[in-house]
Amino acid sequence: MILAKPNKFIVLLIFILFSCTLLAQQRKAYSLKGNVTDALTGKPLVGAIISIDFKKSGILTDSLGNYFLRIPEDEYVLKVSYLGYKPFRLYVKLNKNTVVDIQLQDVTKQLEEVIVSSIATRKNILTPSLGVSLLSMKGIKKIPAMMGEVDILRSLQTLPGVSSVGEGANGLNVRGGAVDQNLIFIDDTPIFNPTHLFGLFSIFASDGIRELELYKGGVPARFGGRTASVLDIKMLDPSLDKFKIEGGIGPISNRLLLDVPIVKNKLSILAVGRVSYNDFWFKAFAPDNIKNTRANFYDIATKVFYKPNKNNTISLMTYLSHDYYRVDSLFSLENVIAKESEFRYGHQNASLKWNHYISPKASFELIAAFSKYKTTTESPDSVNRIDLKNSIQYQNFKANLDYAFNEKHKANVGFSAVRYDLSPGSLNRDIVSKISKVELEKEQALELAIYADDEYKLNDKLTIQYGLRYTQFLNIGPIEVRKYLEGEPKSTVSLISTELKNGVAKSYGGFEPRLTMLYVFNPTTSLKFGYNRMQQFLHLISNNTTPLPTSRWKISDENVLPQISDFASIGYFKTWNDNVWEASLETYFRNINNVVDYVSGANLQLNQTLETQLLKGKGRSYGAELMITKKKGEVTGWISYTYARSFIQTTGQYPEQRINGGNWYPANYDKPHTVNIVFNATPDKHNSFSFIFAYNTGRPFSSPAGTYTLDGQQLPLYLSRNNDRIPDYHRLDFSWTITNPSMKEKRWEGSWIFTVYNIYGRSNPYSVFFTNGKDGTKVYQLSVFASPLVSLAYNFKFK
Amino acid sequence: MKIVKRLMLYFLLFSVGFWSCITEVRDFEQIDSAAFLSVEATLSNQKGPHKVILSFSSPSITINVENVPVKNAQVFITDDKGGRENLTEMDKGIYVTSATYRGIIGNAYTLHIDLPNGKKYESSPEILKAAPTIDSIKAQFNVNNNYPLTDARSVGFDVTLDFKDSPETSDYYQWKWTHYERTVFCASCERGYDYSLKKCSIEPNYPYGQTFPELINYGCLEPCFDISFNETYNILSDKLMNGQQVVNYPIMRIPYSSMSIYYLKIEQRTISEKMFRYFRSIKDVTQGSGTLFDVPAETQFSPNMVSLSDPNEKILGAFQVFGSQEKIIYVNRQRTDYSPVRVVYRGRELPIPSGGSSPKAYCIESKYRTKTEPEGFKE
Repeated sequence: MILAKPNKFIVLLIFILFSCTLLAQQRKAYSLKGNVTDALTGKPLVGAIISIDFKKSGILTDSLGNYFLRIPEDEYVLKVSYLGYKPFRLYVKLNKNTVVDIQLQDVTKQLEEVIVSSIATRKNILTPSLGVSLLSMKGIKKIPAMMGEVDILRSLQTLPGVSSVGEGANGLNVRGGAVDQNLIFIDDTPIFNPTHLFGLFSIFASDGIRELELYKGGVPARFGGRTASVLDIKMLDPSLDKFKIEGGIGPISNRLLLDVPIVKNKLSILAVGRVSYNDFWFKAFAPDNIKNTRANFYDIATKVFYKPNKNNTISLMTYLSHDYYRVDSLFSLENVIAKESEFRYGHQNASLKWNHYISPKASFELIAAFSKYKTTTESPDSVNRIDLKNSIQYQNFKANLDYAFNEKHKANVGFSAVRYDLSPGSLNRDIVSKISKVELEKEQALELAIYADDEYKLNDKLTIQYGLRYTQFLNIGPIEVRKYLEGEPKSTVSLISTELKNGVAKSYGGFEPRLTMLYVFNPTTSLKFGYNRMQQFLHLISNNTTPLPTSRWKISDENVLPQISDFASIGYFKTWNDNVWEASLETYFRNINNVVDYVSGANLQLNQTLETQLLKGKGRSYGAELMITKKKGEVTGWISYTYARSFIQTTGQYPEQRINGGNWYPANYDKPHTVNIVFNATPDKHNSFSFIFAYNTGRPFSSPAGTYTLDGQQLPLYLSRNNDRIPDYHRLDFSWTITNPSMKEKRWEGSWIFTVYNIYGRSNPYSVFFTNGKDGTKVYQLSVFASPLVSLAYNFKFK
Repeated sequence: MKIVKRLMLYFLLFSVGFWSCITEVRDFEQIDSAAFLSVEATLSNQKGPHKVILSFSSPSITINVENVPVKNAQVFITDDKGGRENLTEMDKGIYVTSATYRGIIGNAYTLHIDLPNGKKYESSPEILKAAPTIDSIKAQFNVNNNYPLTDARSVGFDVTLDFKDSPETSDYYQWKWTHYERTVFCASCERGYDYSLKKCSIEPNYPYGQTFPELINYGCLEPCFDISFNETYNILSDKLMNGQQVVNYPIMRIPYSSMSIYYLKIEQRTISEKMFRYFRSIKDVTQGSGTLFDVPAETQFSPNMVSLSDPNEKILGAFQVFGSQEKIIYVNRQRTDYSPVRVVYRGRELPIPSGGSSPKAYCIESKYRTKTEPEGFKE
């Protein structure tokens, strides 16, 4: 009996094209027969379809699961398929009577190895979470990665409701939220800039990540501080018993992961790192004008895991990221012109976590987390040296208790205390230069919160998950508190008083109710409703299309109010065929108060009175997301369509307080229509093929309504913000992963990943802009990746 | 060897289009259009005539729709000492002061415009603040190794200047440079030159030696000078360098296109904070656009002109009052170590017929060309 080990024999698609059946009639015929059964139960499968060389033979298995064919001597590809089972393929050299017994695997019993699942259906359609997606790193690695660089932020953009302003954008926009409205955690430490190289790659070393949870809505009360979403990234826990090395070589970076148990079943350590080597590419291939550019990054994460006994675990995580970028003049600081600029930025994060198992009903965790994000901008020019630094530091202590009263009733309570220390700008503090020293006032704050979540199953049909968070935010001195005339545009003219305050300079507080309700029609269909209120006290100050990594942060104070978001959503979920197929439709509406907007021509850099450049606005976003997912089987993937809108409005008495005359205008990331198709086929355990197709409406930009002349120059005349749209975006990517090409079981396992990004080479515009010269106004578009990007990466594992 | 081959392939694959690209959009459709009164007025302590140009801005971004000049307006400048200067319309929409009129340091000037339709406009009073003298100007030959030596961007003379910022804070500076060069060709025509219209013929009107449409370059019938100037704003605030001696402040780069003397006039201006902010907003919109980090493109309306009849009317442009210091330098471009990258002209010159002369064209006054020999011109 030949067991169903299709992996050993399957020939690749390319080979199949050349298989030859010519002259078959003249050859001797042999029989090909066998028995088809369920691999798990051994039950015969009746009516399984037998195909020869991908053509149906017309033969089906009989009532005992037997099949029989008589065909000429030759080489064939035998395929057996049965609804709900993974197809079986075998390369057969038929030169004698042959028996092939086949065991097929039931797809519904297969372990899910999906890229994404809404928690709702993964843990069962019967849990109340809504708008929450769980992505496994194993799954993310299957979808095409630009330049072979597995990238979390790019992968997230294949989900409905997640987008960015374009390729190279520095962050994500989730359901109409700004980049700074996402709370990104890596093992409980926040990330303030999630990208390397000004937005080209995510900062997370993908090898060290186990999974990520994205809360687009339905955010539990244990999270707070940002208004749009929470991205909770979980690092791998080191293995307590198995040593492992993994790594990879790609066009952009090299990666290495070490998993070392130190005391078996007690103590282990995981270290993962990634280092880029882009300098080489710039020297070798860059056009003349950017040959001197240097762009490097690395990230290193470690995790020590200690399990003194079965009731306690302690883990210590550290994470470092660093970017270095040097260009021939990009940056100018209030017109100090630099010949060369250097940028350095990165995170230093650490968290210490103690988990204590109290009883089967209760468990407890204590977390101390630290994060620091620093940026430096330097121009080494000898006399006009510039050295501009800013930083944001986060310290957090939190405790959390989980308690299950019974099967139907679970609760979670805790508190969290965060201290922020911001140094928003310090120019030339430690260097000698003709350029003055400027020291912006440091900002400090405490964000204290208590919260409780409770999940209660009222009956078989209705489950309620409700939570409440109370946050008290304290802006702490010493700080200058500036008061302006109420309603007047904030400027030196309307400034009434300036007072240096110590202690609590300003405080804000408020309740944040969270609610999700689940109504189950039947075990495959459910309806959910959710409502969230979220507050945000920390704002990223940038009026660029996408924020610079060096943009400053600002905490709420007398003049900059906390952002408050109210979010409601309804979702309908359905699964078919034992969870193989899943469909969901979610709609949402979001209203945000105190959105930060900017006066026309705002000057944000090293500004001592930043509030004079800011406007208080309102935000509104709404949308509908339809997604159909196939989660199991040889072919998996999803199709999603999103309709989403996002608008901002600034009102005030004076024209300078009103952008676009005080009317609602589309946010930079307002892209009404988005379609994503992700397709993955894994015909055997060595080969995996994936396609991604992405389409979205072009983002808004400002286009001129005419021209005027000044000082001999013809200048474009812009009347309103975001009145036009850049052309639509679409792209197709492909990847082919060959795992263990030698097909032998060894301790060393290698895999090749071949990727083509933007297969048909569309010049998707990132921006459209206008220049004026002797020949009048010319219109140009900038595309970040205008041609197909082909790459090959090699990964290895040693166990 | 196998690994080397694999790596080679790998490089090849990777090098396919790593870089972003910028392409011209030719089918751009303008979705909004509007026109406003535009005021381009300057007054400094230099000798006159000083100009005020009035027009309605063009509602289209194509070059074919131009600004419409505002004719027959009453334009005058008053000062806080009771002085008044009436401007006369020199050309359509271009009003000038007398040649002797100049601004006096410390005075505040107001521009008044009365249109024939009865609408009146006025500027806020603008104080003329003295500009510091330019201490020195340097032109340093530099090679940019990023480009091959045959590329005009590789060789050139970087012009920088030194000056001393006054001890007072909130000084704002602007620099303008102007270069004059004798015009080589006054016209380049495919179908001959029309001497009555003083421009290229539309119908074939071939000069001697030309038989089919072809780009032919015409020399100049009269003295003619090409003008080039900075088309971007070069402005500086003393916020981060108050009271300092500013050294090697970059002004421009002279192309090493010939060995001849390069005539360069540099003007150093002291402008108001209002104008500084205004120019910066224009810079933000025009000079920084097209990057990943664009700021919202919004046109600032006039920082100092208002309509007396309708305070909500939006006006473009400004009344620029500034202190000015000028300096002319002659840069010697003789070098033995590098050869110049000469300008290549499209088209050809016709051979000179026996006893005749090659065809020549008139010098037409424009932003970029003048018949008047500039002051202190050397070549």
